[in-house]
Amino acid sequence: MWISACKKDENSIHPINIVTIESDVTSFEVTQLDSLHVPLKLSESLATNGDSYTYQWKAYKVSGNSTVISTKKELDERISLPSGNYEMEFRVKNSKTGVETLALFQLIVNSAFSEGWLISHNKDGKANFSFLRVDDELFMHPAEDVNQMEFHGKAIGAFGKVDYKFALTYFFTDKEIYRFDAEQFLLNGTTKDIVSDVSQIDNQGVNFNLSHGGYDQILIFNNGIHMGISGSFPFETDIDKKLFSDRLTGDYFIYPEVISTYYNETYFYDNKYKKFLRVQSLGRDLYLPQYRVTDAFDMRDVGKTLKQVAYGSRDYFSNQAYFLMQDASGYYLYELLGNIPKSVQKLDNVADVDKIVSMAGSASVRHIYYATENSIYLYDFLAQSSRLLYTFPADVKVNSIKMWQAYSGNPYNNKRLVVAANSGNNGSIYYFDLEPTGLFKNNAISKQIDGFGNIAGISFKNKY
Amino acid sequence: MLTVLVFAFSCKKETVDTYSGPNILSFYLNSGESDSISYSFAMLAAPKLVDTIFLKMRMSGAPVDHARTISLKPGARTTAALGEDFEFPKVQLPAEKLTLIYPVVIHRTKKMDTDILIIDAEVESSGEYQTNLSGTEIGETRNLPNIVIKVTNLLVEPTYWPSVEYNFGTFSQVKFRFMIQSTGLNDFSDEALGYSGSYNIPVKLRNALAAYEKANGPLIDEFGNRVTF
Repeated sequence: MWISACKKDENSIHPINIVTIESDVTSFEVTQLDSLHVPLKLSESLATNGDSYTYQWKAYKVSGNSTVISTKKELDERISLPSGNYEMEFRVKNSKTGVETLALFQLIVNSAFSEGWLISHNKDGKANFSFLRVDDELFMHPAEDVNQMEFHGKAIGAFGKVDYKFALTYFFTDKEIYRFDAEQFLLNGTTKDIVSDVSQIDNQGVNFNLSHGGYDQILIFNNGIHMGISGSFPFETDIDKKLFSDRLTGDYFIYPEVISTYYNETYFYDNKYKKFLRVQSLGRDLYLPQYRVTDAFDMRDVGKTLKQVAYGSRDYFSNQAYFLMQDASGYYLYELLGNIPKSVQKLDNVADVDKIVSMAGSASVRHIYYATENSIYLYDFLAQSSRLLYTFPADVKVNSIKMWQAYSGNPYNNKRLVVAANSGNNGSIYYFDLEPTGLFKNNAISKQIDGFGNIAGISFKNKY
Repeated sequence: MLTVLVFAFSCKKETVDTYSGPNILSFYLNSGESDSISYSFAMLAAPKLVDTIFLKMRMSGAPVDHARTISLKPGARTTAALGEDFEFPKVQLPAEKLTLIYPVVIHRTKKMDTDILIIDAEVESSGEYQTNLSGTEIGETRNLPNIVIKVTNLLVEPTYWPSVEYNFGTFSQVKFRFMIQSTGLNDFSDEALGYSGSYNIPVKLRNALAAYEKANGPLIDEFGNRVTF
């Protein structure tokens, strides 16, 4: 038989010091490599207790790993988490009692390398590519820093695209092709992972783009075309690790430009036989384009040498492209809209037409900018006339010009011309902001960004 | 009032019967494996005159403390010539072991250019073991007294060809041999190539064919047709 008795112990109840966490903001958004500061108010229920605490800020993705960001009371840290959506947990632990208080926040981390200019250059004999973000934040060696690597060879060009289920950047040197995730610049392959029949890259110009419909990745190098699968094709997996095709079969010498003007097929220009060629979405064969009697020119038989390409308007089905062509009779501007040859203009009385090194078009008005080694001109397509806008000092040589076309809503879209130029082995990027007339504001450079080596090329990496 | 219940019981040790019976050597297969093996020298990217086909074998019964000699003999369905088209080497099943991988050596002989020869591999009984055990055991493996090997130097149209005909065109032995030698692959099914491979391998073949034709002129198959991709 068990007998038990109990009596109340009046000394057994001790109040516990509880921490309260208060914050006016519970959701934060930060760009990688920027600092995040979370304003908080902490209060104790027994403030005079003199307790000490430990702190922990932890970020985790649902079903993913967690990362401790800080162990300080105040969060004021540079965030280097991969981009994405996170739950952020702040934990305060009483060192004496072990009692913990928890607060949860939402955190969105945007890629540090979300959209901007990829600048390929050679500095001190080494290949580089730099990333100039649209807010002018410059990352001089992002891929080398992220991957703790150096590039082999001389820089030729870098290209990056972000699309549906696709985000890759390719960097060409004359020794190697490098492939990176486009938003983190993490290396995921070199030449042998990308193409199987290449021993060297000729410095004759390279290009990369997606087809307009998004099913294809297309590389041009050594004047040959290599096709791969892109994100809009729903059945392939690990697109970022798959090989491209060998050089598409055929006797041709392709100008280094993937002409993605039409949703259903992609065009190329063969400078050997002076004609356009096409590949259908997911195709691996080169065909002649179609011809209609209403076409302004026969894409199957142009008979001229392609010198430069610029782009104009863009929409879901069709983009506009301009082609500077030359033959013995002079220079011409051919216009293609989607898959329709729209017009041909003979470029008589266009200043320095025989010295053009680069062209860029506006998507909002019929203006085409062109550069010679030293000067920038505006060609008015409707008036069929040109005018000189700017001349650089004699030692500055223009490498390429591009029209600013960032994510929808960017205030500089079609209102800023970006110029890459070299003075000896020193490269600079110049912004020229445009008046509605197409002229340069104040007839002057709006901004100059220095510090590059000899620039080999620039291209825009978009945000999807 | 508590009632205390007392349980009293006793236990004695049970004896478990162990296996006793003859030692029987047989081939064995995993679930889904065919009891017939097809081999073609023509499927190799790099030509060979001799190759080896490995057969899984096991002995029922307890392990023994000495090695046992294993031998096979040609079964009734054999059309290949022992000692000429193939060999059944004598091998040892090591002491304390019950499984082995048996090597059948095959030679590429002239008659294989036009025929499919059959090697009906049958266990040859000896004083140390018997043969002819078959059945299914737990784990879904099954024992067999015989395994048939079909060996040739012909290229037989793969069963998957109709589903890849869009990529590679009409089958011919000349075309298939060219594909194997150009790519180093011998399986061109959608499953083996994957999507990227299915799109890209035809380009590799077209380039290889263009190079071949530049040096040798058109490649003509056994039907008199020009090979194209």
